[in-house]
Amino acid sequence: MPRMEAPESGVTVRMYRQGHGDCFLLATRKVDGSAFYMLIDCGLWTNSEIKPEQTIDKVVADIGEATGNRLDVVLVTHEHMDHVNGFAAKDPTTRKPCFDPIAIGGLWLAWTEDDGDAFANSLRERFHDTLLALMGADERLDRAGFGVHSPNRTMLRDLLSFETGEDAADGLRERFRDVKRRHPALSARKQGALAIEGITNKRAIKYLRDRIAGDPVFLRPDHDPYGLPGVDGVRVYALGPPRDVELLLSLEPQGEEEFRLSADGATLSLLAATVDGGPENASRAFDPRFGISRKDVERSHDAFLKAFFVDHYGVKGKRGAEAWRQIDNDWLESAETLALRLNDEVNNTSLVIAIELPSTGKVLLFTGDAQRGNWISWAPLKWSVDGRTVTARDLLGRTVLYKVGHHGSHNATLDGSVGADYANLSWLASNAFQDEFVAMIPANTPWAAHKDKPWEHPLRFIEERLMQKARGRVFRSDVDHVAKPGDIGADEWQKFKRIETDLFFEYTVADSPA
Amino acid sequence: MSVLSTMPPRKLRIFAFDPSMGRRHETLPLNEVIVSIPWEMDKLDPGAPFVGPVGEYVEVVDFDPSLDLVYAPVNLHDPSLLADNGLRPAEWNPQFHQQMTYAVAMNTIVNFEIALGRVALWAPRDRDEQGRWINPQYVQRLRIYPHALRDANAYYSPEKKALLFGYFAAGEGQSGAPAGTIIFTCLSHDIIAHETSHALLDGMHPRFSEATNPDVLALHEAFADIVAIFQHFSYPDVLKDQIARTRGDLESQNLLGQLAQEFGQVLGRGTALRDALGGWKDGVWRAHEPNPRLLRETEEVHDRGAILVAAVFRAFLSIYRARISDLLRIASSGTGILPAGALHPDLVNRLAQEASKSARHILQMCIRALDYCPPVDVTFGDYLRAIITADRDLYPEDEHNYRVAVMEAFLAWGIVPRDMPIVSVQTLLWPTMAEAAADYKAVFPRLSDLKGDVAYLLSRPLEMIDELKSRSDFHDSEGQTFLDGLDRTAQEVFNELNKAMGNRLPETAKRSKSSLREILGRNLLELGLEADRKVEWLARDLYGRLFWGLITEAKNAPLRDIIRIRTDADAPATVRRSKIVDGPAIEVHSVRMAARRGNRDQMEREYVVELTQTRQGYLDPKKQEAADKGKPPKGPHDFYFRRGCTLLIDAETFEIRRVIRTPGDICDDAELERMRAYLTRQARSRENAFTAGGSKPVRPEIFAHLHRQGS
Repeated sequence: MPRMEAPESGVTVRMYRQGHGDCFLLATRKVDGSAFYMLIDCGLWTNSEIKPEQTIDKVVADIGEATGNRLDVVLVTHEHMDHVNGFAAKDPTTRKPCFDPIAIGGLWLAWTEDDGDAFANSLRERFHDTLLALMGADERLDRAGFGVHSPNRTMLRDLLSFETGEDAADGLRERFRDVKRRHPALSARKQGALAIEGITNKRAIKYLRDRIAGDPVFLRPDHDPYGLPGVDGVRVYALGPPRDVELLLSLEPQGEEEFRLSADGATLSLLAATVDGGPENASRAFDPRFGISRKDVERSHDAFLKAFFVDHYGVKGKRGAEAWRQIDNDWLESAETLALRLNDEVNNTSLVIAIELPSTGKVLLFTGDAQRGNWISWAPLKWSVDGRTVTARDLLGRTVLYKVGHHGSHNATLDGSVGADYANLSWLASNAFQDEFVAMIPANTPWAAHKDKPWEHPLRFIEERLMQKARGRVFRSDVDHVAKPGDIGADEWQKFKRIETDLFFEYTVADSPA
Repeated sequence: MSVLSTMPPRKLRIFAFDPSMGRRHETLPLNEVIVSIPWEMDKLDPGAPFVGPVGEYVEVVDFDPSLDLVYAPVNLHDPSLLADNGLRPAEWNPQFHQQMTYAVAMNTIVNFEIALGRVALWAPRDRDEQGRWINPQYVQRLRIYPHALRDANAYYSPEKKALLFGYFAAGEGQSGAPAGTIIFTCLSHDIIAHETSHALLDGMHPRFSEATNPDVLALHEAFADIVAIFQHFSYPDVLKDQIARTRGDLESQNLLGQLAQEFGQVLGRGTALRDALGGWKDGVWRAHEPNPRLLRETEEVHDRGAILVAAVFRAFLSIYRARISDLLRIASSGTGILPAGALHPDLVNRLAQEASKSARHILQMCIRALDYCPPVDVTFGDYLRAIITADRDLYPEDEHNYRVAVMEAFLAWGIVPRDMPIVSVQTLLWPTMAEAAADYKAVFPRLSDLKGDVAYLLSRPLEMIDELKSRSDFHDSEGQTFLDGLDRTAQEVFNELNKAMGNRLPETAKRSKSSLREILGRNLLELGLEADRKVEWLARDLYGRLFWGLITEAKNAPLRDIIRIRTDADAPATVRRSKIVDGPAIEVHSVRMAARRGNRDQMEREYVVELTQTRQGYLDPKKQEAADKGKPPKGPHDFYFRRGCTLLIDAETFEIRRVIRTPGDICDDAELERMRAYLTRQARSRENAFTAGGSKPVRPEIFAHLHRQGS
């Protein structure tokens, strides 16, 4: 594969077509005429390849070739498997990290990754507690005899995969056991924190941090736009993640209470009930004199209690008269809801950037997997640049390339009207910029549709809205060629220049009028 | 008869609201109340143990699966408990939790039965554990699990016919409870009453858990909240305290109109979970001002439900205001303006009586209205018509203008029946049979035949069965199965009734066994609150099937036209067909009796008959078109479209009093499209970023989802 050229003006975007996951390579020209390369995310949901031969190590090898093994900036939007596990991937033959041959200049992360930020730290603690509670719940389901494909578990395990970057939480569980053995004196939460350090997603970020000299840049929406080292004029605005906790976590309004970020009571209860190793040492609701373990009841000499329980509830594992009314595992269904919430919350910590080109003001918008709260937070944002005020609304109105959030799912692209007071699809590409609007959806729809519980990625409704707005100029990674819609003229379609290969799509936003 | 019938009511202590009241000095006196449950509800020998409690209606099974712990069941007949109105409120004792869930659930059931004049039945079990349909089975008891979940959640499970209550640790910095202490949802009066009401409503209207329009599930929620709120007014000490505190002005902030204090506070709201009266904004409490546009702009189930609750509460307030205006004048030398300072205790008592009377009346109106709803696809507008009509049929004269109060409050909140050009207390009444027939422009059917037939059906079911056996239009095998089923049910009714009577009758009567014909010759639905619940269930089922026989007869075609039941052979292929006769199927859900005491103390009794038809719906109109023509696409259909009709039949004259129909009939494509549009919109606004939306109401634990985090 040849080198990826930087365009004469503007930015070239290469969207890799690995599968269910994001990987975008951007090239622009430096002042000295050489190419500046930025990589946004590199991940692939295990076994979600669009074409079996286009594996993640092929993608990384191509990045190496395209850039001459030098990335000026790696940007990670958020810590989900399908955005980061490429950074932890190892070459199948050498067993060395795939990214080892590639020099990395700088690392850009969201402020939520900054361990010097107290708010970010409490946020992470909350996530860790939730993750441990979910891991525990999955283990309890396992012990209750539910296989990995049982309907009670598939969604939970999928969601755990997102958070950990590996096959559900199995790896985390092993590490947790190991930490327990080695550090028996630590509290369960401390042990959990140590174990979480070892999960793939965390290792991926650690790998990147170790590869750069100095510290990462932690981007925040309340900071001046960021420049690209060696490049003149291009500005990068961070729109999200918001620092407003209600928007970030999409929680209920808190009234006048001072808000604490610690995990809420429901999560802690689940944590207490699942992680400490099972019912024997889980925290009780009542003093020990109340309550007799079910085993003891079934073997009990208290014939009366035994008869009452067996008559009215039934014997464990046996189909009693009214076994259909038993509730042994209903409580674990809370885990799925909690897991969905955690997933939303982590998506909402996505680093959202608007890349603004100097002469035309055109904008490329990369939203990671930002969801509703993140979108809602953009409207009031403004920056002072060279004495003039730039608002988020301006930037969105000048957007000509939109990387569609969360594989085009519900809630990751807000629908709304131009007149709405929150950022939404109608705010993007207004006036003349509309003629050039292009959308890119990383998705593997057939794969997602064949999961045990199918995922609707992209949501048909959102894809239709995008097709309409972009007049057909929508790249979807699992569709080989962007087809011309019937109602679009050949002349207009002619102007939509692109490169389509099995491994990637490439499209250039030129910094000149369309 | 034994001593049992003369037993005084069973008295049990409960938390009046929840444990948080006892933690505040100001509200400590409101911590505990005693509820009275008529002894007949659980006719148990006081000398024998009463453990669980497992009674006639509910069974408390206290197993905590997360800890694998069984909590020993309380024995309410323990002498020390019998003598002291049960255990004293104690968060730390699981046996008190058992007592409280039992007591509040039973209290709710009692209110329900009084309003409807018949025994309450739970929804039958009609699916197996794999979700496949099975023949409906009688479920005697609602099961209650006080410690089932480790979550800020509690719900009614229609699959398990059970209430599952959760508990969780309070988070940091919340006002309701100290951090780390445990909040039990099963100790909240309001949560127990709310969940029990869901179960009772499901028992009456199983199709009301199908979200076919934005109002159906919202009505479920609103109804459950209404029951919980108005039950507050039945506790005199609480009521008097709040009347004194608000100086009789129940429109100012008070505890009565609020739901689930502790739960709401611990979830970080700093206030109750829901408040029918008003809310806090920027540190100031304000009463809700009715907003007629809000309903149109609101989709979320609880938010919509809150609008209905606010409307009902508004009606209550205007009734209460009217009832106390004379008292206020007397107490203020005719000015109507009370002097400053505390109210005289006598005045407080009188105001409390009026509040309690108004609340009881409103609650009964709301419960009775359930018999006057269409069997499927109910809307708030239907519910308004149901309230007005039910009240009109019981009290022809609206002496206190209750109906106007209800109508005015509903209209103020924008609740109007669809396509109703003139809204008045008159037009809101559901049509009578004569009106429905006249509007249909049909030849008035020979309804006298039907009257005779209904009387025959109820008094001589065995002859009716014989007559059905002679019908020539039944398909061979399915028809035979149907007829065999009738014989079997009749025999079962006989057996159960004999058993039930045997337990009550003296030995001599037991020996002279009554015959099948004799037993079935009495109207089994007339027993009202005295009925054995299993017999009642079987009888409703038997009469329902006999009514099916009646309505499907060829001679009743004009009647079917008027009530919009379609049986023509050329109906779309997606309309479910009958297995027994040719043409589309008609489901008769049950024939039940509503008995209420009118204002001349006369018993008003009506039979309630519900008929429905079902059609397979597709979200894609093209697929629908093909399937309607008999070429169904591959794969399952997306939803069920149902239409139906509720008939109210006078129990004395057997005349059809009211005809309550859903808009359109089962062949109506415009109505089908309306539902499709709603489901499509729902699918888009789902809250989960992964799985496809709820086009089909198949989610088994629909209420679990709704109640999580009290959202």
